[in-house]
Amino acid sequence: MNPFDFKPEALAREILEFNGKLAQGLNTLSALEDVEVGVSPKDAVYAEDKLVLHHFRPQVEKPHPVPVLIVYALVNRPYMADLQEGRSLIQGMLRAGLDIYLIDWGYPDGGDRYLTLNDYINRYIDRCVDEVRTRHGLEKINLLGICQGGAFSLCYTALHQDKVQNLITTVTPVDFHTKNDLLSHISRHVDVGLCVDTMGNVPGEVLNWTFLTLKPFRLMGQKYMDLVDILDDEEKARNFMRMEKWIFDSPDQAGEAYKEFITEFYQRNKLVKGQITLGGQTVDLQTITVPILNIYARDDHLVPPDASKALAGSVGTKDYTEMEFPGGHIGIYVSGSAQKTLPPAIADWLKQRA
Amino acid sequence: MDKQNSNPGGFDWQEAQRRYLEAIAAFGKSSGADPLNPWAGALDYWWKSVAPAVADSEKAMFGNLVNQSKTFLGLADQFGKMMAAAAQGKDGDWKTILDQHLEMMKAGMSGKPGAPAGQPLAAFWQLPLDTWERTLSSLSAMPGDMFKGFKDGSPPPAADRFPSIPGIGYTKEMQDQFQRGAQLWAEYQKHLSEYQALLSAAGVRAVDILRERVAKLGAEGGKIRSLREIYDLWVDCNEDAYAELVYSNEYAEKYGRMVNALMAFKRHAQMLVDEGLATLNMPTQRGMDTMQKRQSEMRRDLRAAEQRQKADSDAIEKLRRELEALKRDMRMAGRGRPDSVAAAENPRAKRRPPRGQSGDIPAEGPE
Repeated sequence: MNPFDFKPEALAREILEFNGKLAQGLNTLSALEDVEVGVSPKDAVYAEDKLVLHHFRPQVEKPHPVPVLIVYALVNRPYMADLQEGRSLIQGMLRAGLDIYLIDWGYPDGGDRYLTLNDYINRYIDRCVDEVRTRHGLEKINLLGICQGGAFSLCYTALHQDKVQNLITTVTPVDFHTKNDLLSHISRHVDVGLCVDTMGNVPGEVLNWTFLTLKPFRLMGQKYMDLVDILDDEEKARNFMRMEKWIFDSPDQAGEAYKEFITEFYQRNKLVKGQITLGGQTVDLQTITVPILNIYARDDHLVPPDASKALAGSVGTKDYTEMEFPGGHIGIYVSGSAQKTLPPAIADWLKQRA
Repeated sequence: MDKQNSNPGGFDWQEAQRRYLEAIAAFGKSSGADPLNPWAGALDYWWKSVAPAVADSEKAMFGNLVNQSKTFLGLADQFGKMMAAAAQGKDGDWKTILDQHLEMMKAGMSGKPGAPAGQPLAAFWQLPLDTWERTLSSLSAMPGDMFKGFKDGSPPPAADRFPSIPGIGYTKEMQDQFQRGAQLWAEYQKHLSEYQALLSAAGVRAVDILRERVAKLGAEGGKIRSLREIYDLWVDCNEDAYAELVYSNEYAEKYGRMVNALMAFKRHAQMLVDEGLATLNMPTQRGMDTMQKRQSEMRRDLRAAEQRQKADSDAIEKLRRELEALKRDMRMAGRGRPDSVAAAENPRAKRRPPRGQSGDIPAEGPE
């Protein structure tokens, strides 16, 4: 049977309606001005080079005594975890009674070109951990890693287990050579050393391009058609623009650290093999015995579930919990359903291990 | 004031509407409209007239939106004709009509000489590559690529032979470097073409997937009732064809070669720029890299020295406390009342441990 069921006049009407929505939509967009991101009040409590350690103001009278330090990825900006009212993992965790710190890596420039992963993990993260420990008079604190920050948190915990009480990893790649890992696949034959020698720091635009080309027609085409459909609703348009701002707010990557991460983690898959070395020390995930909560996203196209779930067989802890979130890589932080499930689940898990 | 005109961004909505209506009207009589994509042409015409009124900070976002809308309208035109023809065909005919249109689309996407021009479908598959080139052009070591003139179409006559002309005399080295640059650029173009060919083939494959999906829909009694539905279906087909491509080893290899070739060319261009700067006695990128590397190493050395110094200070402090405790114990022993050294090791401890259990220093002072 012929599936085409419409008339030319309907087609013309659809186009005219589309054009009308587009033209009116430009007015909506221009009225938005700059969209605000980051909703929870916070204070900068430590700074070193470009890094700033933020402490979010607790939202309950007696927060959980062991604070959580969030280690964000070097890619994109950390306000993704605190995007807007009602769409903020951090806000949910604060309301669930947790005390939250967050590392903001800032925007590296030419002076940061030779920062290594050792600098990021054994220096910056370690100093932030020490700062939080000192502020709370504790030997150990809780770590929560996001994506690449999760991989860093694993490395850190393997080397500094005496300072970590519990570890939570979210959408964290562990095995970089799983079947559906497209980022890993397309980077396999790229001479990253040559790229970094040429570009110095790797521009955020290059990373944006890489992420967009994972699903180019959806992310560079269809997404904007969807936008036209919601342009008559200012709040929806504002939400879209918040995400758009985050997507294209891409710091450059410190060249040396980028080279190490792509070659050692993505191309040679050394993390899961226990072959990463930082500052002369080998990162052996099997040495990790602290409790781990590993949260992955079922529909993640950047870090496939299998890449995260590989953690189960790679660590030495006897207290390992896995949690699947029914959504994508970003939805885990900003979707409505994530707000209802993740913060209480994280808080409960931590409180059981106080 | 009208709500739509109370715009702090200063965008004049009524004026934009007026121009849009003019553009639509002009589209009907303008000989300048794109005959292949008339709807997209009208939108383009309108955007050019209102763009000057849009704030610079918003222009990029609006431009992106308008560009995607033009692609949509181009597709609408192309699919519209096909769908209108197919909708009028009898149950047996629609497949023939569909096949004819799809074959025309495939020919347009193949990129082969003589293929129909102005195909919005082909433009759709330019998305990844266009973005790639715009991204990379912003990373050039010089304002614009040295060999930009070679970029599109065939190189100038004899350009392919230029890189192999031997250099002589005083400028030999300079000539060698430019020839090397030309070779690297040619290599990049070769790998770019191979990459582009992969994308074109995937585009053709997407048309086949579309044909299969539409046939399946027809067999299941499903309906396509709007352009947006076929657009969404087309996006799905493209993503599926693209996924088939990008997960292949061939894609990873050709993508890697393209990126590496471009980086090799840009690295060489950077070296040439450095040469020029050096002759002017100005700082070079190479020199800056060396300085930054040394500075990073010095900071690491300094930090390690600080850590060693702190460890030494801590050890000295501990020894000092032990020494003071020993002296105190000796004084006490002289008065017949010995003290504990452990307290010195942990000055914050409130309770004094029992004699003889205070740590590595004997609680009993030397007699």
